[in-house]
Amino acid sequence: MEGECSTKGIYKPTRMLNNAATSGASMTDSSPQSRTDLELAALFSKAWGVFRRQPGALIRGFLAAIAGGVLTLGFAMAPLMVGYIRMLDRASRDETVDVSEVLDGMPTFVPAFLVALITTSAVVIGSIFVVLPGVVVAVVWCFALWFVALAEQAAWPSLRSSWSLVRHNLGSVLLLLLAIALANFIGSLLIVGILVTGPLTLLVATLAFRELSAS
Amino acid sequence: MKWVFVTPGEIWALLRQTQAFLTDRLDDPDAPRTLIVTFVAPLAAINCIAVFVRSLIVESLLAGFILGIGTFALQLGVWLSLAIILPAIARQFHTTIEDDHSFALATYASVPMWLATILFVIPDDYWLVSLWARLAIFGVSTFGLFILQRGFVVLDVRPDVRTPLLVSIAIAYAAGYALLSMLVGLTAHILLYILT
Repeated sequence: MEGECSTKGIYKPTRMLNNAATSGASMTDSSPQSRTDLELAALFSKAWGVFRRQPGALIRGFLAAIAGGVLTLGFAMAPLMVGYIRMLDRASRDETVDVSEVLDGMPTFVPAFLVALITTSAVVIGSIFVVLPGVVVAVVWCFALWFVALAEQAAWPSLRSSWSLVRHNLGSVLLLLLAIALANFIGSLLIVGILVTGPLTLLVATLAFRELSAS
Repeated sequence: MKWVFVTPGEIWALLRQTQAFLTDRLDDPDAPRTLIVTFVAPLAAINCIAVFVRSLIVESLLAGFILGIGTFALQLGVWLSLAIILPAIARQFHTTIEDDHSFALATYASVPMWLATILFVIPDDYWLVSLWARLAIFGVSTFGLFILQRGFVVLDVRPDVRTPLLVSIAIAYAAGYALLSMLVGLTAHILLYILT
């Protein structure tokens, strides 16, 4: 079930997620799924353990993804984030990671860019109608990039998969997003704290994605 | 289905005899849809009307309309978020709160705040009065925590987890409220800037 990285730059997604991507069965159908209980304390604790093992590489990767996105006026932000998510996934399996692995997401440029474009557009349009529709869209598609990164799904299936995943675990996902927002808010109060909370919360999201999608 | 709006008598019963009221209501909780029509929408509208009237006096009809609708959306969003995450927070403490109970608890716990938001009618220009009004809203809203605590007793939540559960809910609620109000405020002011 675990994902693999046989050599640097070639990422093999997990079999379970990959099957979901190709068959569209487990993540996109409307059959009832059991609700997964995310234990936030355990997730944050595990993420902190992973982060402490190689903080330098994870912070450099985070900065590289953000800087790359800014320098390309946002065009490469999503593919670079896909690369960074894969990097975090490897790190969570105790593999040694390197900042150059952020570029692993570039082969998924089209789906990642489309996901970001569709999501951002929908959030902006939804927000015009008294915010709530925009927030709803942002929440239901919050894991779309993770489906692109870790299940190698195309743009539209990843959006549908994210919707399906969130729909079946709405309470847990909302609580997770709130905890992530709170952690990043506290991190940004300390200015440089965001360099820790940024990678840490993305790591938490990656671990949560693994846990939720495994159910 | 017959829907009856919330009455002052019911609100009085909730505030004066909280546990008896909750014992009655949580035994067979109303469905979320019924709660929206009978309790949530009418009471959340208090804030909406207060902001509309204040903006009408101080600014313009358009400002009143946009800020009023935005405030109503904010109240609905915060209520819905609380109702959805309450069971998830409870599960962090290995406690189960059913969805119907969660919606009912979120509704009844929000009542004091909704009532107190009438004070939003006071314009910000009178800053001292306005400050006192905000503090009064905050103070009255904390009664919602007492209602939640009584609700946990009725739902037989283990005594050792009630306090940590209450603290977690309070933090999550404050964070959610702050986040949503920031988003609503920002969007409303961008819309006002564009339209005026």
